[in-house]
Amino acid sequence: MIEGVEWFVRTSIEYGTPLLLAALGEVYSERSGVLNLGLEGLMALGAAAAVAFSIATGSPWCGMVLACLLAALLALVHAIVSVILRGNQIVSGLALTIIGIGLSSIVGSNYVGLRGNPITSVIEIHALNRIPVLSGLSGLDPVAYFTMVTAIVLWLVLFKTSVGLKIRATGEDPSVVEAMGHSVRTIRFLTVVFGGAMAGLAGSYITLVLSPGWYEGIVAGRGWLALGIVIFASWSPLRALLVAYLFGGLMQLRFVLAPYLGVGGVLLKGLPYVLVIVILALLSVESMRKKIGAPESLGKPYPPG
Amino acid sequence: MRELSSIARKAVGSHRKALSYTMPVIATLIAFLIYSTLLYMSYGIDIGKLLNSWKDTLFTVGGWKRSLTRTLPILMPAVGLTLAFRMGFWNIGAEGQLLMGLLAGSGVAIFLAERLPQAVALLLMFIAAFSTGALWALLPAYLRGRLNVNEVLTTLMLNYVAASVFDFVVRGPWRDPSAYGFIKSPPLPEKTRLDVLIGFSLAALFAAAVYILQNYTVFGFEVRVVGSSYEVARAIGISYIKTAIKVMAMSGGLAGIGGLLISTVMTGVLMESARMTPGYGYTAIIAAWLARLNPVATVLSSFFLGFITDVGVLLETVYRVPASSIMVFEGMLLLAVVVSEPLEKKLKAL
Repeated sequence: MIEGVEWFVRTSIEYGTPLLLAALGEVYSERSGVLNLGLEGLMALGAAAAVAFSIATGSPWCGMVLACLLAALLALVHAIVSVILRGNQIVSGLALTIIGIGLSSIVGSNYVGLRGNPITSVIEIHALNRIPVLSGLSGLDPVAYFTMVTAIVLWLVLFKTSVGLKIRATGEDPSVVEAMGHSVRTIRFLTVVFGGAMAGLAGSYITLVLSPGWYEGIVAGRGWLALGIVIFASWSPLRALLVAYLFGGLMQLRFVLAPYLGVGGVLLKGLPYVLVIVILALLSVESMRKKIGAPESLGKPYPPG
Repeated sequence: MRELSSIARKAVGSHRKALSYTMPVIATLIAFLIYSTLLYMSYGIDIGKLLNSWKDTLFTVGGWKRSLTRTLPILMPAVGLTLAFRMGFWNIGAEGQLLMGLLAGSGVAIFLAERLPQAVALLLMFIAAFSTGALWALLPAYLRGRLNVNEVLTTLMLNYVAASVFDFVVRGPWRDPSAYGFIKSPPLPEKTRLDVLIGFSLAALFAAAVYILQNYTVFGFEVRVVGSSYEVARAIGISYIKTAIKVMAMSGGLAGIGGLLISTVMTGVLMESARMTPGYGYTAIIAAWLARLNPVATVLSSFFLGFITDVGVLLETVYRVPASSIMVFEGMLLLAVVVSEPLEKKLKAL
């Protein structure tokens, strides 16, 4: 029983990690005022590129870094369209998703069905190994730990440094930031590209760690879930960590329950998405809305008009 | 971009009207160039081979029929989406609404049609498809109208929920046990099948109807007012939630009919969701925007995209290039629409 719980903790974190990585990047870009609906496509591109490059270079780590860069490059398009040209962020983001999925099919087409060159190393934390349940936190892959640390660092940067203050101010009232002599465009540009890199990393985690190998559709809506997670986490990297692991647990619940459900197991696939809708509805109740507060200028181009 | 705008300016002089027609053409050419370069770099397919595969679709009767067949599930949702987008309601859920309509309409065909006269059966199928698609679209409308829940996410999430419901039904209760290892339903009876031209005429009729609704009725006026300003709409007594519910019922319903046309015109049987639609509901979003939210123009844009989709499939069978690679081209077209709006503003100011 205890082993079951430990296994559940570990897999929840593994399934939650790509969600968290993508959500962290999106927290930054939304905090600066830019909505990026391209996450799903960026993750797909990252996922395919990671497999391709990990095989081509012989190193999964090189593959991961290159996947990151490629996704950042694609996010650059969204940055140019929505920040520089001030086009509609929703349509631009959707276009990015469509392009990303298309590109991923090209990049990955020679690698369908191959296991690729996955990351197999794990880090044992011996102090945790003797504690029941918590030992589930030991023996994860390095990227999962890196992601936890990143969440904390990003939280610190966002709320405890002047850089973070600038980013948050840009999302709330860009005219103030401009008046202080900073460039709203530069800040937004950088957060969007950063968000792209994180989404690329998230995608590469899926194909290099979670379920090695590439096939079309492997991202399976995780990019959209990440967008939901950003809202539940009320744009905080630390809360995103908790919410993402919760959703990670939910995503693999169907593997736990599958033996008991037979063909009904496929219905559980829809469960995380139903939950997003339910939570969104709950969060929208007036008293809650005041507490969470989306960035005031989210989705609005600057300068306006 | 500056280069692009100067080319556009030279090309069209000061004729603003001409501008809105030249921009899409230029954008399409640029998108095509980028896409073909990509194919050349990745698969060594040069532009000649690529154009050849366009020829196979464009200049054969079979090619036209295939393109038209693929046009239907793009056109029907696109027509409905023009309404939703005009009121500023971001319905990204056409894919799910389409799947639910496909499921319900085909269900009527498979399990009830045998005992009914053909006309009644067809009518029931369309009613089932429309109302199920509409129902699936109502929740986001209600949540947005009542609780101000972001409709982009709710409509999107429901796509995945719809796919899992669809797959559950097709794998479980409706699975044809006599189909051996294949996951599919019993076939739709012959009398419930429609010819592609009938399907297309029907879809064109819906497009015309929505065009009239949008431009010559009070309801169409209300939709546009809500779309241009939420405050103005409230000031003159237009209820947001009522408009949203009506618009989404129509948008979802039309997408549902688009779904039904997949089985009655194309496949004749239900399979798993991924095999029924390569994302027609998402392509419909592109079709609606390419048509600049004009329902009649969606007939053209949807046909164009149906044609493109068919070329994508040909590329896969002939050159083993994944069919989804064509999405790169489609996505760039959508991007061009986004870019052209602020660019046009700038050009007009020159």
